[in-house]
Amino acid sequence: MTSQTSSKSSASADIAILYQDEKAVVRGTNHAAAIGQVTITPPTDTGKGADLPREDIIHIYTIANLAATALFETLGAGGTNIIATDAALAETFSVTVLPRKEGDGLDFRWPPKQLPPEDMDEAQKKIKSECLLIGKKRVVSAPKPPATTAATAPSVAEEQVPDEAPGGIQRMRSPDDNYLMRQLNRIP
Amino acid sequence: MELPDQVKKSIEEQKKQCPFCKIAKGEIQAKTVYEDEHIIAFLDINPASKGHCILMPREHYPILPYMDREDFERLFGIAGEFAEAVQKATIADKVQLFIASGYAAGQMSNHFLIHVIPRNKADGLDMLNATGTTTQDAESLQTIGRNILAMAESYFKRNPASWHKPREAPAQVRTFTKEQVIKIVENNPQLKEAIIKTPDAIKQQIDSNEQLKQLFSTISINDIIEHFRAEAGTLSTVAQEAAETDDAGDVVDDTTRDAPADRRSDEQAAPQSLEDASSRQSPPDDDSEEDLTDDTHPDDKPRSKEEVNLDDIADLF
Repeated sequence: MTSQTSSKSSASADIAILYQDEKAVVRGTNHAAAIGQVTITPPTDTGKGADLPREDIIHIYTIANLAATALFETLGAGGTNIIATDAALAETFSVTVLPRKEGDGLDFRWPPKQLPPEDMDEAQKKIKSECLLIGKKRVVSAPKPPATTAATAPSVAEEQVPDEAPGGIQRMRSPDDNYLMRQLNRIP
Repeated sequence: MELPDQVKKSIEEQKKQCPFCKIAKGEIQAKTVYEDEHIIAFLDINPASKGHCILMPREHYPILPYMDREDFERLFGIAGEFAEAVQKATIADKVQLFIASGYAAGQMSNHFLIHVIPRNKADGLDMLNATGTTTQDAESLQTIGRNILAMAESYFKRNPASWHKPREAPAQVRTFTKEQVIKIVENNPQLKEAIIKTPDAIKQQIDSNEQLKQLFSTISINDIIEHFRAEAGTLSTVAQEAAETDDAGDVVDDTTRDAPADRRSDEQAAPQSLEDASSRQSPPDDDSEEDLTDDTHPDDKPRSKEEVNLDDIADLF
């Protein structure tokens, strides 16, 4: 990445509220890597995503997904990166969404490490052991009303062109430019 | 999500060659750390750090928007707990979940997946903090906010939630560009003087005033201060040189004479500039836009509440 980076908490760099509902707040990011970068957090400080009810964390990622689509529609982004900071000792749970364009100068690739087999085995054993607790302590969320059962709930992707949405969508791209089709053809 | 036949066919072709589908089916060995009927997680063979895992649905989805709602909920429903498990196992400072959606975002695999990466200080992975020096564009942010609101309301219509009550957008983000703020300050000599002479006090005022915070949400007050201090320094130097060579009058008179007409200390100019700025920032469906822009006869009709607030912006200091 060519932008200067710092270890500053993303939460402290977020100011303007762009969207808010009962379970998610979207803010513009001030010390951003890209124009249009937004951060989604719960309305109140939460140390870890694991401390949130399942329904809440799903909603935050749902809003992140909608934000990614909004960045495509608004800025004509060619793709998006979604980066969540979680399980942190000193930072609150947050999800950052960045619009990406080819040749934008950002580079999130990491230098791959070749770990010794014994290190890989040790990591596998320890993580597997901790994963045994998944689903055991989760706060039970309220049951959904019948209309929202998973069997009938549409994919989030269906929300990309909300015909009945107030005000509609303001686009900076051709209406013929279909994100889903374009990405399908571009991924190797 | 009902996909067109062409897309379905293309995805089916992808599946046949997808190594991650083979891992999901057990046809390729991986160091699995978690699995259930729909989700699987395993160690990345080229990790960014020790304990770096891939968390993914067993089903093949090229990108996130294609994902079936049920799998979306299953995957992200455990994401927090999985991150905590990785953090505890690796004793990391934090864990970051990284998703690349689309070719331009660096997506290398056609099977949607999440990188779960343990992070520690000085691990060389600060690019994942996604911080930089980019100055946000206020107008774009406003449009993004309106589009997210429109999409979210549509989403809630299709997926009613007992906890959600449809509501209006939060108070519209009324932010200004650096150039607009400079223009506002230029038209308010007292404010300009305060910025030059007591910048720390100005910063404190901004921090303690919500409206001012909002105004400066997408620009740096330090940049504004720097602009006027540099300008003042330049003008002082010019004035000093003029005084030494030409016995010129006081500095203020000189700068006023030399300044462009629109920068002169004109008491009437401030509201006009503010409203100019606001009209460019107002949402297109804002009913008050006509009032804000039509300032040629300000006394002919009552001023809108928003307009009054804008006129008073400089007074907030």
